[in-house]
Amino acid sequence: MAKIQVKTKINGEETEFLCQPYDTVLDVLRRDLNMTGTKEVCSTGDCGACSITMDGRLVCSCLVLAAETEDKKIETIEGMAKNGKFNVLQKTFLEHAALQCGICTPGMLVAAKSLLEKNTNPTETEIRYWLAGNLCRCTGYDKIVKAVQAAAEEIRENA
Amino acid sequence: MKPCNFKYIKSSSINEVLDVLDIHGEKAQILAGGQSLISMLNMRIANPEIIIDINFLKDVISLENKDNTIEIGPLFRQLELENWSDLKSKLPLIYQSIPYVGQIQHRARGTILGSICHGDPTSELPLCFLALNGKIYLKSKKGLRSISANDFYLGPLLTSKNSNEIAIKLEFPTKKEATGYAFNEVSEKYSDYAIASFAVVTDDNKIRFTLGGIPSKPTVIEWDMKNFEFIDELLNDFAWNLDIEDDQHASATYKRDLIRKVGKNTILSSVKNI
Repeated sequence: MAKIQVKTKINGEETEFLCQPYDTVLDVLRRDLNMTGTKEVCSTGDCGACSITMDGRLVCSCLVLAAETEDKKIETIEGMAKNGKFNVLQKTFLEHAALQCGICTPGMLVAAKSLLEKNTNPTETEIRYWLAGNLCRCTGYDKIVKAVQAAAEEIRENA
Repeated sequence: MKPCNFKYIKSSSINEVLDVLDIHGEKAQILAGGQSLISMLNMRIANPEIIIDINFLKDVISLENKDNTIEIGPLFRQLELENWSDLKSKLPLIYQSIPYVGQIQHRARGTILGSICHGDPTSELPLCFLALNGKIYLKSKKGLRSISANDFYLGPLLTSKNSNEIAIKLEFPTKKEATGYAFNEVSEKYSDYAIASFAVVTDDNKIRFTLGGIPSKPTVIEWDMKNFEFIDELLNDFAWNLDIEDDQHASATYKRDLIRKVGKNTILSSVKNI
């Protein structure tokens, strides 16, 4: 069956790729574009490890077909550190030991970043509500919430 | 697992969608938000031969605020409704239920009409649609018809929508005077599939009680407000009249208990909200 040609913008860069109708964005990112930062875990949208943003909205890349991304703006974990410097969330995640095995971390960071872009002063409840779609089986979430709070504080101080 | 192969058709107009549906019917599946569909494709529960992507349609409404109704089009996302500034004042029931609809990730992409047409018995939006007795407009090559929520759900993931039809519009009645709305849900963890979900609309004359999660489709029952003092008995009768079975999440006894207790609390909240 004929492949589909898709033109999209990934982390600010114009990108063109060919995909099968049944390929998800996640498949294309990991297999064809060698962007393996976004993780595949459940493929059913339950775990959030594959979180990316599409036109500024947080989505599970396993639940979006690659063909649907025509003319969209995609942001992935690869676009988070700028010029070799960590994003503030990446820094606070390390400082608070908010990761262990690391599989959920890219999704957590992308999700937390999209929260802080909308709200730089979230309450603990708001953080937990926002990250409810991202599962972590190691940390028990507490350190993740603390890292997001610390990042929010740093963003507010530098604003 | 990965989806089976299918033909992907990107359509730019409703007429184009109707042409494809007319020829291929059940073999074709409409993709809007895809938050249930793509997950079912990934698990190979769904194996359509054709996927009609309607995300690029231009000739559809998004949200229109009419006198007594809110009209919603096929590409209006759940997150957009959640962020709509008038949601609380116009659709208080949806306002209460929408945080339970999937996670932020799913609501960003999932559509209102998609969820309602998917008709998952554990979903919140079909339940609210039934509680409010909204109306859905279905279009096919043969013409347009509307159907009320009371007649829409036939069984698990089964609705009166035919395979040659596309839902093009939905109407929710807006908040009425002297009417109370309440929503409640019990699940294993926040935002998981509902073990039981309740949406209640109460006014001076009647209690409209809807139950999701337990029966195989969203189920409604109405009681006269005059019988309010017998609400415990009415709920108990309702629970025993449903064909409830044990499953891996909860026993039938527990589920009947949820109907009696959480159901009653939801009714009481709706009365308080009048």
